Amino acid sequence: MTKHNQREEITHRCGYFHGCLPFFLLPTFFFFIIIVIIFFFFTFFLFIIFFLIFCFLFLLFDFNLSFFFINFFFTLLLFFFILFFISIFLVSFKVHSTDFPGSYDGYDDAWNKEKFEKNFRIEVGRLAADELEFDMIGIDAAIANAFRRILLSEVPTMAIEKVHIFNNTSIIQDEVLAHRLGLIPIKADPRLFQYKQNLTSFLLLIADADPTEEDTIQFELKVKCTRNPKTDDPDNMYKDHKVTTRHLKWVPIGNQANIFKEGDIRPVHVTEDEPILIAKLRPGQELDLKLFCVKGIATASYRLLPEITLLKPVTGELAVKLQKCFSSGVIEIDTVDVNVESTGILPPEVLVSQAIQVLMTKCRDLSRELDETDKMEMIQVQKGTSEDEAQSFYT
Amino acid sequence: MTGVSNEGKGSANDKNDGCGEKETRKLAVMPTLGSEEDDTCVTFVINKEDHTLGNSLRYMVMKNPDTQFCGYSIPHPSEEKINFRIQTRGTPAKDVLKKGMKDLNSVCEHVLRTFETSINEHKRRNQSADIEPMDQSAG
Repeated sequence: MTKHNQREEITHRCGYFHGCLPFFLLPTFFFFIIIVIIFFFFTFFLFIIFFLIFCFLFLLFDFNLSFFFINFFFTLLLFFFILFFISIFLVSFKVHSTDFPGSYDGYDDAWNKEKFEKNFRIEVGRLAADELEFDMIGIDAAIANAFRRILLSEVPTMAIEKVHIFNNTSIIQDEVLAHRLGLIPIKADPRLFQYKQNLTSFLLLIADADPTEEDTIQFELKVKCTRNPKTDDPDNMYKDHKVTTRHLKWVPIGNQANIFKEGDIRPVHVTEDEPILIAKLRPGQELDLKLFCVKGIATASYRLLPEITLLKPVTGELAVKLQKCFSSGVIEIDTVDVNVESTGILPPEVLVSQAIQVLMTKCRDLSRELDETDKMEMIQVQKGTSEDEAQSFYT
Repeated sequence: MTGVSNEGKGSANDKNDGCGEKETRKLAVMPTLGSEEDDTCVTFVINKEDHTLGNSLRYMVMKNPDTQFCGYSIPHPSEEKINFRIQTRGTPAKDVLKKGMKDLNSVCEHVLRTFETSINEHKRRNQSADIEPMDQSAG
């Protein structure tokens, strides 16, 4: 569908009022600007009028009457500002979709695979070693958001999970040190490893299986800080006082030495840039740790993304300038602009592919369970809960 | 894509949680007292899932013209499960759910294919134009 037709279709749709008012869900920039301009000038105009009336009255009448009109004027001004801000909120972009069958009369919004495949396209903006920017056009926000959530927390990676501390005389506490080590990105392709299975012994304890070459990577961190007698320069007074990821040494298990070359398995950020600082030591302090990396997903970690809020509406020429600041096509119908920054373990395009495959795996697993059960297990309902206890759903 | 492992994530699909209890299945059905025979209005309880699958699956099920109502809720944010409610105009809710998952799967496949094609084309274009060297794997 050409851009012109799309715009025509959306304009045509706004003539129908069904269900929740679709008028407020118009995604076109054009209407947003017009309405905001109208309200802006309306309040501004009223402000000027009341200000002039107030000045006029102040000069003619005595103080008491003027104060009455000041009160009245400010109340009215407040009312119109509130109205102004509410109007902005109402015409703001709503991400809630309405393209479901039955929303609009005469429109067949049922799932049409061919139509989706015809309209969907991906435009890659920028592809670097650790950053990727691309646009997905013609996909709904619900699915794009699912990919985003998976990218952030459900793409498997290798990370340090168990730390055996043999000696830690630094001032960093054991648990803090272990926590910091767990956050270090480890450059090992997680697709080449398997998940670690938890053993259960007959004593009903959850034990850990011994680390095998297929599911664990082992590192060693042995650092001792000594005084450097040669110089008086404060920068070089100590030897090894900064424990960084450069001190992490890979210890191959089993036949890992045959599969991976020296330098294949290491923390990211070791060779280029600055290594990650783990701890600081002083003479006499030392660290002696064994670190075990396994494959897993982040269970509850979210990355904060900067949020851009427009403090006042941007109109006319400035709006065009603002649009130019972002990648082209940001202001469009059903466009999702995606920026993926990788930690360096896997290239960003591989991360996105993995994320899509994770969603497919979820669907397949659920489908399989659905097929396997003829009569699905019923949940035991406690006596307390009544069936007409209203539960609000995300719809 | 080579060597993509299809194992379930971590211990999410672990059937045995080690204490000898009943295995927690991925999918269950919430019983509706008084209308067990009606299979067009069902609440599914899906374990170990959150908004990621919930919202996208809800969108695909809503696209089905047979669906009268579809919504999901998370009873408590500390428990990793969702209640997925489907009400249809006649077809069994199980079939609608199955179709929704099949459609979501096909969407993902198409997105993956399109994405890989675009990336390869982008790499090819940059290589041929020789603007900048191919992104080396982080040295």
